[in-house]
Amino acid sequence: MDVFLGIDVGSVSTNLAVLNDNLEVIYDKYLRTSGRPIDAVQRAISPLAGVLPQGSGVVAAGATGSARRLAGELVGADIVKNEITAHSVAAIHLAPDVHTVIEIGGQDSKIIIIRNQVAVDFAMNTICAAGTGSFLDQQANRLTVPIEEFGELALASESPVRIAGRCTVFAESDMIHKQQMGHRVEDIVAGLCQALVRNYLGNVAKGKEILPPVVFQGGVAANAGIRKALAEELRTDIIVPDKFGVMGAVGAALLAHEWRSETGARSRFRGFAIGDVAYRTTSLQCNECPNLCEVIEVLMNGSKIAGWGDRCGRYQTEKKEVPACEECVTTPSSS
Amino acid sequence: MGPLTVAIKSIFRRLGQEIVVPPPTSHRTISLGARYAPELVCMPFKVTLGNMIEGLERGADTVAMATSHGNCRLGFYWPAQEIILKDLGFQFEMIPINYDRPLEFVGEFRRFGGGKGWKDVLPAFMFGIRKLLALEELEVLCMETRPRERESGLTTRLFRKWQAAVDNAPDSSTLKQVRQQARKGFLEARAESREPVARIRIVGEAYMMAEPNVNFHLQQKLGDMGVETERSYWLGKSVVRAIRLDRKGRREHEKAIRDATPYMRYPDLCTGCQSIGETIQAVRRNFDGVILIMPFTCMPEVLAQSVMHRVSEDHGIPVLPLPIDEHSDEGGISTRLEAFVDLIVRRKQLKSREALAGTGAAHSARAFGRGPTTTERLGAG
Repeated sequence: MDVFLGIDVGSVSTNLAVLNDNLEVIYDKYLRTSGRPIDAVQRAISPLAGVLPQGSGVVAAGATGSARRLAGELVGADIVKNEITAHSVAAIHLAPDVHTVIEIGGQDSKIIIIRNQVAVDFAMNTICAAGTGSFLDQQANRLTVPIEEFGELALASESPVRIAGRCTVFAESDMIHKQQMGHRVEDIVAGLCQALVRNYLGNVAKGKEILPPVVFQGGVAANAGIRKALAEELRTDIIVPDKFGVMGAVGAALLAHEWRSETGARSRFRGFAIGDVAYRTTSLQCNECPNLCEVIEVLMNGSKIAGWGDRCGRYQTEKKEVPACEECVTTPSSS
Repeated sequence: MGPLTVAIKSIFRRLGQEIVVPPPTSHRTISLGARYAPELVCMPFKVTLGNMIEGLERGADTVAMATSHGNCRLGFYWPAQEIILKDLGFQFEMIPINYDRPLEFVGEFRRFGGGKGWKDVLPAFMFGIRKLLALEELEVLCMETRPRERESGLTTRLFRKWQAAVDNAPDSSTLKQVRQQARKGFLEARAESREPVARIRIVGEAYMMAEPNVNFHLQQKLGDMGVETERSYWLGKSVVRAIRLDRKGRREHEKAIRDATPYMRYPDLCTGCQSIGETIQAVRRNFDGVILIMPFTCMPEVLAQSVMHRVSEDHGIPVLPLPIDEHSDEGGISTRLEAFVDLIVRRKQLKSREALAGTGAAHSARAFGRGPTTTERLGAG
């Protein structure tokens, strides 16, 4: 059986999805990245051989997420795409009439406006990470509520308190103030959910025309409190897909499928055994010119497989030299 | 700024003066500037302050800083920078170069030109402008060639080569030859079979647009993704316009401001207007998208940004606002650019599919505005 693999390596989680020929998700996995993307990719890929049906072969692989480039090199992805494209492709596949995609992840949140099955506009949080999953994580910690129960607790609230949501630092001090005043934990939790939603709609989604159907995905979609607050604020139903946590990976797999049907080429996929390979990265500052690029090189079993971060292309090929050009001025002029 | 440095260097070299070229803008420049500048001032202030410090460290005794009146805080920059630098203990003289008053600043060159008269200063100045225009033409050639280049990196190498040639050109006739050869060289670097995936116009704040080390090499990044770009601002053009030699450019500029008036009630007060007008022009000139680049906290462009979604909706062109400051990270910028290019390409594909099928025409016109479809543009269908 031909299968398509998608992997999404984000700041907080590493997700994997495997699609069959009919583009149905046959396997998915959600792991914590824990700041070690290489390790996370290996942990995600290695058990695959055991769980996929007999005779499955990966015919195309896609990578996305903030570590997409690294992940793409590790697994041998055929297509490496940004999260926004991956998320919109997955949402359109799931709900062909979708008009708005709301995605709140660990460190960033996005809105994608879709019309006629094509993304026509998008926005991502800039400068500020207020209103994302990491913030909820922290506050859950402070209240000693497990993040998994956070949403249910919010639903139990009868009168949510109002918490300043402009900035997480102020939200936190406001929250502490409300605690000290003696408000109940569930009211505070519900207030936090509302503050996060207000922050999202006021910053990321500012000026965007949010039309139903609205699809809500990303790790934070697991939180029932946020779902409720969002539905109330937008006065519309919110669709949360079954695979809300791995939609990026599903999108990457769909893009891989698209790549395969367009090119018909053979996959670069390295196989499920990459868990046993020693991967290492080295970083250096190149001093060849005044740009002083910070270069990353990826080593597989000690030999270089990829490099990036440079502007001139010197490190991007396996050979160290710049392609020869006899007229080329080697020392850049003082500009 | 690269091209400006080359031009100024050429002017002073002709006048027999020594000139200290500060090192190119780097991480160090930006962090130096950010350390001594007020927190909420815009990126160009911080970067130019860093450039000045690095120049003064190398022994410069005079600092020239661009200024203008009206429009934004730029008019206050040189006095503020002078105070900051003098407080840091540097000894120097500051010359404001007011590009709204070209005669005045040519006069400044005369004062610092070692007692040379107008007879020497004017030709030196005009030659400097020619170099500036030549370098900017090279950049245009890069922007056109990069998405079509035969092998990756070729455009960058050609640019370096011809940039050095322009820098070294001793007189106008050599410069003319260099320009002709460069045009030919760039044309040969194109692969017949490659066509750009999209055309994007870059509008917004001039400094951020012109300085690749500050805008994360925006033009190069887009070019490598296969996008042909165009920039609305060129220093050379604006100087020529200021000395009343470019009537066509002036008319275009005035037209842009007129186009923006439905969105801005007091257009004379705001350079952001120009960005709006230029976005509308981009629709007429068949661009697929617009990037609005600006320093974070830039007053005029923030005004433009706030009405941009309406402009985008009314005229059916995607616009990506790109605010940048010293805290911006390259990953975030790349993700936004990639997603924007994907969005444009997918939109184009859908439009051409619909045009071919001849269905949903009314549908797409409503959703995508008035831009012509790809097939129409290609003359097919």
